[in-house]
Amino acid sequence: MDFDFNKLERDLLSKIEEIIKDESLPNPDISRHAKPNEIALVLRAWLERLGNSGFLAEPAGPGRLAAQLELAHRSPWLALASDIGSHVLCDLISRHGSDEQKKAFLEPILKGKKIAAVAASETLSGSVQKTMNTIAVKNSGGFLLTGAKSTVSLGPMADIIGVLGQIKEGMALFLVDRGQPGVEAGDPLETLGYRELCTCPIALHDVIIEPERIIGPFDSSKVDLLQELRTAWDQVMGAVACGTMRLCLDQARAAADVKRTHGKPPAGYQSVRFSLAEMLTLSQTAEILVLRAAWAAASGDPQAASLGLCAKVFATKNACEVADKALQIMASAGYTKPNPVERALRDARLGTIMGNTSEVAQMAIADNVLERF
Amino acid sequence: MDFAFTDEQMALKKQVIRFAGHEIVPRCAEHDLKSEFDRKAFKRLGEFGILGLHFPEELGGSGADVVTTVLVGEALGEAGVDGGLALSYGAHTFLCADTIFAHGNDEQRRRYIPKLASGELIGCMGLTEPGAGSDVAAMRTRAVKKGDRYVLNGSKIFITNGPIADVAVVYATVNPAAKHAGISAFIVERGTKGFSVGAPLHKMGVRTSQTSELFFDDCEIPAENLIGSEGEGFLMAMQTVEWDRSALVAPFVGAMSYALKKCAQYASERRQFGRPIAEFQAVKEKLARMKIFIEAAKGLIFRIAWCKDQGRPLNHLEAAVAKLFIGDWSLEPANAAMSIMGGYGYCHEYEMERMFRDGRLAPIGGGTSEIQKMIISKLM
Repeated sequence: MDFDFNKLERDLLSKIEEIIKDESLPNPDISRHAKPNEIALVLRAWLERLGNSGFLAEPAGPGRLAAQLELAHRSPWLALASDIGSHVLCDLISRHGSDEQKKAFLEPILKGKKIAAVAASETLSGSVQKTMNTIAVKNSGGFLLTGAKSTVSLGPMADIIGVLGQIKEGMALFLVDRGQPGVEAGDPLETLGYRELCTCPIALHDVIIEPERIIGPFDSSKVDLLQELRTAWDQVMGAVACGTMRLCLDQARAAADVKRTHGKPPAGYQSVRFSLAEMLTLSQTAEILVLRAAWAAASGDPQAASLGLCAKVFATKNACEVADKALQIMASAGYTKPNPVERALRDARLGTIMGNTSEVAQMAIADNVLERF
Repeated sequence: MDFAFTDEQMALKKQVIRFAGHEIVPRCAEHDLKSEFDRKAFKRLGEFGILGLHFPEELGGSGADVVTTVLVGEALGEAGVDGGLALSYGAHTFLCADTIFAHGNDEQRRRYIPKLASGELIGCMGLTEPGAGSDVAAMRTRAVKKGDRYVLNGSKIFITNGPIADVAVVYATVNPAAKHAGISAFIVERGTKGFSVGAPLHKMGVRTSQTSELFFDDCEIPAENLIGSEGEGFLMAMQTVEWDRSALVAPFVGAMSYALKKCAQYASERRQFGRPIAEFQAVKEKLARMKIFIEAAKGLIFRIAWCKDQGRPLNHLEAAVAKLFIGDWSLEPANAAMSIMGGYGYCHEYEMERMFRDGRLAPIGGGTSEIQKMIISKLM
């Protein structure tokens, strides 16, 4: 047992701290009036910085998670946007892709040269495989992919999109260039939070997919791509939730010391101090839990799946709680835009939905418990 | 980072669960119903090596590290040992014996630790007073040195093991004006003239641990019963916090694992509307909430234990976070467990009722949740 970071983990953490130190990270409010192409410019610049440092290519584990958490502490949006490609999509490619596919697709994403997105959900199927209507049929040059994805984060700005769809033999991952004929990204949807992700629908009309851009198909009883995708999202959302909690704590603490009510700062009132104590308790507890889950996943612990779900549910639920408490301490100042806590409260709400929803995760946790006893 | 326990630690945990499950758990319900201390079970804890696990072998212990010790505490709860016996063990080993071991001289160690480790003697700690709980500086129990003796006057309240203890580590002030710096620790043996104990208090939970007042009425003890030096008592009491936030709360976490197991088994067997209630989402959600609490709490207590093993000074912020989380956030999953068991959970014969009552101590004992929030908000 060792609760300290080892040297490699410390080095990685230092690396990310160095990158984000004294830098003007993407303004939390950049998207209020920004268009996808303007946001893409900011994102590309940061992905390149992160990619050049080697950070995006770091393997999963407590060190990577701690660094991602620290990045999210400064900019939850950037942490999430960078992980969609380098973690969620690249995990699938590195696990199931051929050597040629890894060479062709991993490097540009991990070097920060390309923005990546993942397209799985559909209006009528969510992320359920058997009702998924994105289908590829064979033609002379490969496959023709047709379907409609309802919510694709980074959709309008992505260079490459990992599309989950069905072939006769099972589910496959199709690596699609957004500029390909037949790929049509819709207007960004009005979302509660994470507006800079420009989540949009994507329509696919007979998109020609060459065989080297297909990973799979897989027999779903052996490889469950959707579940793997949700697990990756869970890890990402857990780290981002923890970073969000740190951010909210910073803001609330600062506000509690400064803003004055009846002649004393909010921190002069016991109820405010207790609220801050509860926020810190939830934040620290969540961090240890997500780090332990990351360690379990990286070390092949047999309880890793269940622990990962516990961590995701706990961290994302309590990020909402902590953001809400922070806003309450900041009062009207927290309720008005622009401020990071107002935004964090909206953003945090994605955590309980993305990947395995809290409800789905809780059912899986309970199934695991029932199996054991 | 590495969160793995060693194979030896896991093997010991299994042994403890098996031992406690066979020899202690079957006795818990009856003793709880009668609010009786289970002296035989306590003695078996000593014979199995649990009471003195972390003391050196030459003093009757096994030389275990803190993580292993905390793991064993968790195992007792996970086996289904009632919170009362676990609390008696905690007060005996960590609040009494460990204070003598950590701060006493060689003579005091030799005299008391082997017998405390074996369970031949039972220990308690007297700190809380009617007017001085977490506000230790308000302590009124006085110790006045007269020649080669100290004379103690005052009283203590809510003392776990008070009615049954053979040895008490008692905190008293030698100089009230010095506040914290006047507090000193003394060993007081049962039978000492002027030392008496009150009747056991009737409690909501942890009933098999006996709790009472201690009275000191011109109680004379030899000067060599002073632990360490005069004025060092406050620091000694604070050092017990490390144990309090790890080993003493570990059985609460273990008990939630036991409750989860019992609830899962019950939910699989209990049928309503033609199917096991485990198939209802509302029941599954409750099971999940219990499991999430357990996993979250484990990280906190083992962090404190591991830091103690590294010889690091106690991080009071992290300790308070652990205590607050286990205290306050355990209530909701405990309630969920009770709900899963329904009417059976409410009846004494199904253990859940006892566990629910026992668990309610977590946000109170060893510093209430409100005190933890005060500490956290001050340090953060």
